[in-house]
Amino acid sequence: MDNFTKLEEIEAYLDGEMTPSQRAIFEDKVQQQPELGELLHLVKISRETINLAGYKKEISRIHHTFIQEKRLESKSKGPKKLRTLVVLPNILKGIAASLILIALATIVVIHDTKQNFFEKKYIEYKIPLERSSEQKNGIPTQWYIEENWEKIIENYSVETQNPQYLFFSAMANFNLKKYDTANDQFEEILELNRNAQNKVFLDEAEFYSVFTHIKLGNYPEAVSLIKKINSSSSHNYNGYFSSWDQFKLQLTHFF
Amino acid sequence: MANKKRKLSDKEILNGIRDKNQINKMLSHLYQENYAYLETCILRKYGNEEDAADIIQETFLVFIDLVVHDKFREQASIKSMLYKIANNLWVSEIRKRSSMNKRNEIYESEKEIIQKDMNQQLVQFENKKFILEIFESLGSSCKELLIKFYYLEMSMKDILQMENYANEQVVRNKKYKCLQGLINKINDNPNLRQMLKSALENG
Repeated sequence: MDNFTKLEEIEAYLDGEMTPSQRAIFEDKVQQQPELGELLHLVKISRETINLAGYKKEISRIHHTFIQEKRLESKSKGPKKLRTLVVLPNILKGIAASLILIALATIVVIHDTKQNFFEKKYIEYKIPLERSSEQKNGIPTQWYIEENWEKIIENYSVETQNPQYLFFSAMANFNLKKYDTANDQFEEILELNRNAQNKVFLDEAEFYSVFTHIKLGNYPEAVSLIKKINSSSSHNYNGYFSSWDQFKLQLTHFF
Repeated sequence: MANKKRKLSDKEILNGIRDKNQINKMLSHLYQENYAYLETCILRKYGNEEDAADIIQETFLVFIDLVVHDKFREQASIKSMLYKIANNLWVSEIRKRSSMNKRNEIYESEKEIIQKDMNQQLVQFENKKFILEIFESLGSSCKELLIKFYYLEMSMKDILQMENYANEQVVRNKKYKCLQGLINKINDNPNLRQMLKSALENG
């Protein structure tokens, strides 16, 4: 069979132009001849890509029209704004401009904090993995490394009172966006550590609690934890949050 | 752009994309509704306006590809799907650039944003992008003929009337010759061939 005939046959198959029995025979041939299967896949993906080339052309055309219209629109909007300002006395213009700038800056900061604070500041909790320790990892640690959050939560038992397991469970809930539960569990860790001589996962719980509060919109609680972290020089996360971070969160809460 | 048009629902947009006759209208609508938002997302992540323009065009292409092949299951809104695609494309672009100049530390944290399912779809799209490049390298008469036949879904008869071919059989032979030419060029690229083979094996 020459190449054209093969292509014709493949296209008839892809276009649904074969009778059921012809289809069955063709599919049987594809099973028996891997190179025919490969060619079928190639023709299919080539046809899809030709279509994509058509869509790409349309997108490019719409894109250029859109950008041109956007430019024209911003040009035509420009003088209007100026005309409004021109009728105001100079001093009022200055005050109005300052107020607009302050309001804009505040909006930008609040918007940026709400949208980006978490993304910019959040660091994932990673368990240091050394070659020699690979064998030693306990089950919750191994699940944590595997990001098997459901398994950690499923197997966590309140009775164990194990701060490490509790921390993993809180982080698992956090990663599954169950922020209320994560928050409760971080609180439990803080409570467990309150009277303990050896502090276990206290710094980590406080640090990730900040992000949980942010996710829950509890900005004052997040700020108060940041202050606590920054007030202790021995805290693992001391200095990670800046005064500007605190200010942004306070501002976001205020508005 | 000045006249305000009715906001289309996600369902209307998806149906419009599947119907090629409405693709222009749908694309214009998607641009009006999402361009500024997507551009801000890229600018916020250290991109400039040109980067945003490139990424957004590619985002719409990936999105259309997903919709026409029924891979967009409406598990998310169109807006959030476009955001996911744009974000993933931009993170991939950043990685490509940062691996070139070995300064990937700023973007290291972005890695987690890439979603596994989206990644899989983007890998498939990458294969098509390579083929698209090969397609662009074909002669203009072949490209036009293939686009007319497959994308514009013109019949052989219509093509014959538009072009200077002797008869329909000549058009048909030319179309197969062009398609075969594209396939031969793909086969000449061992890396691409291997990628397509693994894609076939992995379903």
